[in-house]
Amino acid sequence: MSGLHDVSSPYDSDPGLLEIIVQFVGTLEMEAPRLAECISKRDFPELVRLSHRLKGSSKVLGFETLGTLFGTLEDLARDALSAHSAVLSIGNLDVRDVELEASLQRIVDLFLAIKARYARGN
Amino acid sequence: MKTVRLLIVDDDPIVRKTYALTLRRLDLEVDEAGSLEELALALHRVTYDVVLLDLTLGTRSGLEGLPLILKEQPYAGVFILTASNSVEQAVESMRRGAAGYLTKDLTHEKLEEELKRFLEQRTKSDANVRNGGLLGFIGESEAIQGLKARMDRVKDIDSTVLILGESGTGKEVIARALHTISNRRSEPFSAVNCGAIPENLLESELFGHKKGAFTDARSDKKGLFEVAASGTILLDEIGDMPILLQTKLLRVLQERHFVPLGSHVPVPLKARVVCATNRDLQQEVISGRFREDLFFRINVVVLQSPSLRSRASDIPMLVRHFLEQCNTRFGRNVQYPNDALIERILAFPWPGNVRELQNSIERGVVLSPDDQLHAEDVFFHFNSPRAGASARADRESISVLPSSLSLDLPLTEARLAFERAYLNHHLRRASGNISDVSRAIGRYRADIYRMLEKHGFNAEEFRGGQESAKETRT
Repeated sequence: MSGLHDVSSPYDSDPGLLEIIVQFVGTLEMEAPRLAECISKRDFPELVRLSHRLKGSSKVLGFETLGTLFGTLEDLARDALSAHSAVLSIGNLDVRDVELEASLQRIVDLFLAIKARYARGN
Repeated sequence: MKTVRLLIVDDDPIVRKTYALTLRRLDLEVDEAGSLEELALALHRVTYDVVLLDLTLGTRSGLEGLPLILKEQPYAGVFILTASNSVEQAVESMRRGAAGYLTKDLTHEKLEEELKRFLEQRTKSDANVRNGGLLGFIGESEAIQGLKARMDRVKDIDSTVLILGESGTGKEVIARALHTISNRRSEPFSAVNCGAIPENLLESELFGHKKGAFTDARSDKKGLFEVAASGTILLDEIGDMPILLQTKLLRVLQERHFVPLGSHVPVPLKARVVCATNRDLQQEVISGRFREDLFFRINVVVLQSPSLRSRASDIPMLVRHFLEQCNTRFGRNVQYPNDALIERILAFPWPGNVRELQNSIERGVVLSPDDQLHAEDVFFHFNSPRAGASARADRESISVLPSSLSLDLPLTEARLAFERAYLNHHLRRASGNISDVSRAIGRYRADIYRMLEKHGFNAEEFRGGQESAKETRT
């Protein structure tokens, strides 16, 4: 269960920044399927790049918890990337897949709560 | 109060927009760049006080852009932005010359505080620099004092200013200093190298264009005349401006307005125009490469940028300045040179002027194994492992090439530096005999005399090997 501080930005009382927050929510909605696709296709370089970028924009807009979750996903993706490069066992990769998917699910859950608060029209 | 200009370099538009909105409320002028390529373009167009540089730009490292910023705009404070919190990265970026390191989880209030603190410190340090000599202007020689006095007299006059001087003497530094002390200092300073941009792009770069004006014009773009607003625009290497564009520039200067490509609406020219060149414009007029009417139009207030030879007493101060700069940039602690090396540095003619001295000190710092400057590093280009008479001619050929002749130079400057070295070499080989030089390089005697004048050589000095002696002493 996410707390109010997890789903709200400290900057949302500023109309200009609120507009950017709404745009960010739209971006997240578009990027979430891409993150899932990266995991299923094992495109770890792209997963690192995307999660790193979203970690940055989350933090800049004051979504600290979301930023931390993207940071975890980025770290897992980096681990998977190095394991993948080192051609480790498929079994290990399966374990990583589960971790990555669980990490993404936590992001999606939090995102849905943020979206409920900020999506345009709400 | 001077307007502070800040550039945000980040590949994420959300981050750029958020910081831009927040920082504009501090009355900062904020521009955005989404890649290293856009960073290079922005640095080319506008002078910044602060650059926020993201550590990760797509698949590239933002640190790749740091040397470019430090080279193009050494007075800008560069803050590395990152979503991670790594001490190693912070130390590394500061070691490479960044002013600070900011993490993206900083609250906006903290970010504002950090920037305010930096700008306050910089204002104090600017005041110190101005008291000691204009912004970036190092020296107390008679030549520099005279130049400063003249700049002070013309700083608030709206006339076009023409800065003349050899390559590497700091003509752009003079232009920036003139802007800084003028009543236009709160407005932008823009600079363009007329010799470095292809002819077909230069017009759009200067005057701007409307969407659809030509094939690649996908959106409206302001030209540098408009970007400069009521500030200063430097047209560097004006002697290299294509003749067709000279005609258009003349009209702009006379009518005080310009028309962007694809538009019919004239835009008033409010900026003061400063031109600079290392060419002999009168000679260029005679040879038909420069319009006489434009020459008369820009030759109103002339500032002569002195060669380093004519201000040798400034050399110790410049050496100290460049040494401090390089020590900071490379995280070194190289000491001021001993008396013997300073004597050698003072005796050298420095054909590439301040830029050559700066490059030599930088090389000395980078190559130093023991925090001392060594002559063989400072004068690296005069050393050759080969010995004997047969190698001497080759070595002498190498020895006349100035250290400023680097492949990183703009073509115009590289060509000029090579021409000077080439002429020097043939004059020494022919002991100053113009007919022999003429035969050796396949040019008319009149051409040789023009080149002598252009590079400030006196053929008499090459008779009896004086020039050779002067060169090889180093």
